[in-house]
Amino acid sequence: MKYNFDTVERGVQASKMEMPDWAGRAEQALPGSSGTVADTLSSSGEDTLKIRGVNTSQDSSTYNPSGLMSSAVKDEPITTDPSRHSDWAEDSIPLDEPDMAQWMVPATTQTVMLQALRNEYIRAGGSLTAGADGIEKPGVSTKSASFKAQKGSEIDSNGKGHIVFKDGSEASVSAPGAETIITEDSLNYASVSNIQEDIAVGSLYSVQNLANNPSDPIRFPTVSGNTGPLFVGHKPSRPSILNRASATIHSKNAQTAEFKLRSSRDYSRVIRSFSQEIPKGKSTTTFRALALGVDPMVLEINPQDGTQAVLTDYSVFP
Amino acid sequence: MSEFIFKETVAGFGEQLFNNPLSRVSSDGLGYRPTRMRLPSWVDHNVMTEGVDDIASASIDVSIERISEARPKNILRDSNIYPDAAKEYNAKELLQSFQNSTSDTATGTEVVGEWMDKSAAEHAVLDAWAREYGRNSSVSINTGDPFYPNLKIGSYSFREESGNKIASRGSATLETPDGTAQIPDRSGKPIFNKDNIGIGAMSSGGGGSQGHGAVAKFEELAETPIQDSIRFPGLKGYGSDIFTAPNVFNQAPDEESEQQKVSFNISSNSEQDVKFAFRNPNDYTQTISENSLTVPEGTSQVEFQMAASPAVPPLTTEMNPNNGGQVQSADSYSIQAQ
Repeated sequence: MKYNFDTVERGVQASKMEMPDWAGRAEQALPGSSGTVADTLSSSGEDTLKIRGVNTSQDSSTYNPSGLMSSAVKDEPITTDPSRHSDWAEDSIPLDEPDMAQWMVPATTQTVMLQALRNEYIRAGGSLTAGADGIEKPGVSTKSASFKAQKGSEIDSNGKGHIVFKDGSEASVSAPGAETIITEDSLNYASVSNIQEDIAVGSLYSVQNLANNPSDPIRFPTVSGNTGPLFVGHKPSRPSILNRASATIHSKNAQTAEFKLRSSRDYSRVIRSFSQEIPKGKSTTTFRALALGVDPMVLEINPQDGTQAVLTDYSVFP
Repeated sequence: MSEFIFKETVAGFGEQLFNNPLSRVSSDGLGYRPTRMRLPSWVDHNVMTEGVDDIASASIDVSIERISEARPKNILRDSNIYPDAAKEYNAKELLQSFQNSTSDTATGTEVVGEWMDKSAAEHAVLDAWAREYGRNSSVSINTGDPFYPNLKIGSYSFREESGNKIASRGSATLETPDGTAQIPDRSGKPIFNKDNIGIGAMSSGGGGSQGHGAVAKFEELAETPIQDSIRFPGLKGYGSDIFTAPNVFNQAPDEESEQQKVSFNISSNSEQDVKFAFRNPNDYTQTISENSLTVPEGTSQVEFQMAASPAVPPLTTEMNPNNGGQVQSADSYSIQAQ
């Protein structure tokens, strides 16, 4: 197997992408004593990348995505609708018990949404870690990162919460709100909501293994009014100067989605991006990627906040 | 290459060997990440099979010598999540400060019961442990209530059960990639499955709906040489015995040899027994050698020789103190060809 990043560096888990066997061969074949020739060649694909022919066609005007999964930790309804999850949580949680509190409703609602996403992402060939809970107590941790423990009042006055990675590096999250947190080697999404005196609810997901060219449905997580992105691997089957890519999306409403192609060598580097109108129902967005050599990349698809949507498949030819 | 050696190419690192692949699919059809050991570049199939068998058939003569006072707690690392928490290895010692931190207006409406303070205290201890453990290695941790919202870390998940139910049965159910394990109420236990290792701890909380649990999953085992202290996290123990969680290491000889000398230091606040076992890196359920060490108060040095043919293989080391929260930390661990 060939990967773009080491699994664990400084105790921090990377979002790994399985690379095709041919990736990097040209660099290895060149005399790389200074690295300059190899570096030039290795970056030329990304630098010369152009996106052409972006087009979306509506396949159906009905929003009825099939193949969604449950969280497998609760018996919540299988849906992308967070209000249905919230209604279920209100009915299920014994809030009249003395050791239960109202903030557990949004925390549970977000938990089931993110765990269902995790299961769908795993089915599609990737791996993802997620969690939601009270930020100060009991604390929110996933395999990759945690929320720094802060009282709701402190988060409220600063207007932000903080994600901390195991090496001590931090990133801020608008509060209330959500942020996509990208580092050179990790892909994460976090939100802060339900801010009270002591407790605020934090939710977090981190990609562990990218799902490359997924062909099973994966929801976009809708968490406290925000809709998070999906990250999938754009993995050509062989070296080429032209890739034809196709993304099928079910969307509950017409919306504008943002597409970002990120470098598989450094996720924080957006190579190209574009926005595209997505109609209500099922639609297919196609585009061509042209470069001196199209490298494996990461596609981030960002729906509009508050929308419900499902990525049915993403294909790359060749 | 070998069914026990998995080769990966990683950009910037070249080829690396592991005892397990990055991911596998469990019997329920879901993918999971096994606990992995990085293997030295010199290992081959014979070392991973015949070498392991040879260790299993030999006895190990361990010497232990007290060398100093126990290392002070200030050598331990802070939690990233709770940077103001004191450097304690037993969560029980942090409980008071977490109880005092709750605002008057939040008591009883947001912070509802002691289970939240205990979960936070255990989160702080486990997070600091995870930092000590992570040196190109990783253990994932989480704490909270299994009922609402849920307690899960990756493929390790406590089944949704109320505190009352856990109390009446006397155990909680931890789901793992290899099926379920029963975790005793008000205590904990390590889980050694064939290719994944974790820890579960649970307290029903004394009759309410909520309980408070802790879960850890070893992702990549910390490998020798280990030069900084790694605590033994003490969980539960609020009215019962403290559950002391084990450390699990990758004893990885960097040179091929039929003879290796192993040495490690361990600190304890009082005399305590520690189970010291080698497990099969090809199947963590198999204990291939086991010793019980009586560790005196202070810091002690443990030494022993190992011999195997064709070479002493990489081994999974389980260091598991008896419950009670006395054993503080493993302070170093090395293996050297003779």
